[in-house]
Amino acid sequence: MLERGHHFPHAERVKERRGEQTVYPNPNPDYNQTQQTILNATPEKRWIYTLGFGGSSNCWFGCTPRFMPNDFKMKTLYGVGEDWPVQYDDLEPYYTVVEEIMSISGPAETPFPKKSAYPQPPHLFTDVDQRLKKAYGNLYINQPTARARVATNGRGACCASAVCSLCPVNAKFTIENGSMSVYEDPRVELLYGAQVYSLELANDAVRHVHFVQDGREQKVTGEVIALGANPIFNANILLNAGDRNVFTGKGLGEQIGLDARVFLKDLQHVGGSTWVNANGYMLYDGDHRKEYAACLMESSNHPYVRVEKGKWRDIVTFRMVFEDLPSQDSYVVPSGDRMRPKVHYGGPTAYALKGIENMKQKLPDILACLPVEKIIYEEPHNSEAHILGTTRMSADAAKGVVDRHLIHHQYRNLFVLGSGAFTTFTPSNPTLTLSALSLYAADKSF
Amino acid sequence: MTLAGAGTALLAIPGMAFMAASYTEAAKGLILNELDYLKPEKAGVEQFVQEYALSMTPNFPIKIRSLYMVRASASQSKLVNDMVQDYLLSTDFFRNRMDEQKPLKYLGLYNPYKTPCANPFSNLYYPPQVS
Repeated sequence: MLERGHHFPHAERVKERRGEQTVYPNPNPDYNQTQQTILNATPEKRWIYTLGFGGSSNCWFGCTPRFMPNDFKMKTLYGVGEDWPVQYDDLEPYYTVVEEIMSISGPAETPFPKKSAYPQPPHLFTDVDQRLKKAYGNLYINQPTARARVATNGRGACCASAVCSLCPVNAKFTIENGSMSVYEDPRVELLYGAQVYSLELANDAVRHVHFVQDGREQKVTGEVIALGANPIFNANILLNAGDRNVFTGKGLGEQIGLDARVFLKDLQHVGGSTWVNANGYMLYDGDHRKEYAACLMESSNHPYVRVEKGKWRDIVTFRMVFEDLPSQDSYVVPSGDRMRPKVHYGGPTAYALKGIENMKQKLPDILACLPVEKIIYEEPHNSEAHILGTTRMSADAAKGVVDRHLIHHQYRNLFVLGSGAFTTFTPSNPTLTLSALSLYAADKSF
Repeated sequence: MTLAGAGTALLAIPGMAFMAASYTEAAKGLILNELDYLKPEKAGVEQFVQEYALSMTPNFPIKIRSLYMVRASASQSKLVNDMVQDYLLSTDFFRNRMDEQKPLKYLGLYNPYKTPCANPFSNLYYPPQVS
């Protein structure tokens, strides 16, 4: 296994945040250094990722809703994007396995079909969430999450510290606290500081993997190869190798999120047990997706207040997250530096922007069950830190890069993993689904 | 009216010597003006603003001094709003269930890594009602 970064344990990273001395300096790049690992042609748009052993599990916030069944058939149902070659029912048992591995907390009833109970009990609603739950039933649920509700296997219970990118009590699932057994298998050799930048292709197969470690050019071979970088770097590796699939590197995208700050009259937003207590699906699925984007609501519980006498916590903030469509204006290409891909972003599509406008029209009615004084909409966040697309999944090579088993349509000993394979982008967080796709691919391929 | 930043404040008072107040005086003044109906301990406010500046960018004190010159309020300036909010989180105000009659005691800069589980609005402080 070739790992670009290094292992810097959770306990040491927490020491850094406390301003304490660490056992050794952090060997991985910080945020600003990470931003220099790409040539960003549109620097006003940032692409957020972390480098280091454990990857995005180190910095994710642990939100794990499943996709909705209709997310996989956007073309058939709504006439936009393309249908996925894998469907919800195919993934259902693999979702369950991932939820077991990550000890997901979640409710008994969900808007998506689910054959098994979540391993952990749900997190607690706030008083505001309870009113919305009463109004909307299973369209308003305790968020399924990898932030543990109860302590498990060395992980603490989430206590709403609300700094989830590095949990102070190690409550969220990470590779380090939940999957180290894979690396402890004596058959696995792990090389740190090894950046893969290209492949040697011959006769529709990968023969060698090229990487640099300690400034030295090296290559390895294997019967089967799996790329597990993020969608920007997976695309760069393929393009450096000479992959000529017309979709490779194309359709880069993200969801779009903005905060709606809802000022309440004599109702406190208190009592939740985690950072995002709830997900709302009231603006998610339906025929409106023929015209504009689905929206997933997140009820936020970090310690914000109104600086107003007697009204301190009479406020709730919802993060409204919108899907977008893969766009040909957003893409990855190689640069003059083989290690640093060049990234172009064409901005959110009209489909997503129309979804935002629709939300602003409908949210007051949706929140009619609350004593709302006013709603203030913030500008969209620069990033949702969910990089998607570039190696999209399709039934055949005419419409995408990998097949339903994440195997490259042309190079049949090559898996290209991760959210780059998403055929379309939903408003749901990607990690649970990309994990289920990997388990499905492995189960069906070996 | 909202103030987008210190630059706005400087434009608003071109003829004034904006260095008249120190950072500490300015930050204290903004907090005490905003919370004039509460009972903050002044020594605690001073300790907070000094520790708070260490966690901010180098130009933060200049922005605060500029905002103080125009007596910016939390509703006009996000910077003031955030500073006042962070001050309150660093006191026992929320742990005392927002009792506006009790003196505010500074507990130390709010830092979830030094004091995890201190979100004052969580279920730990507002447990579910048992009916």
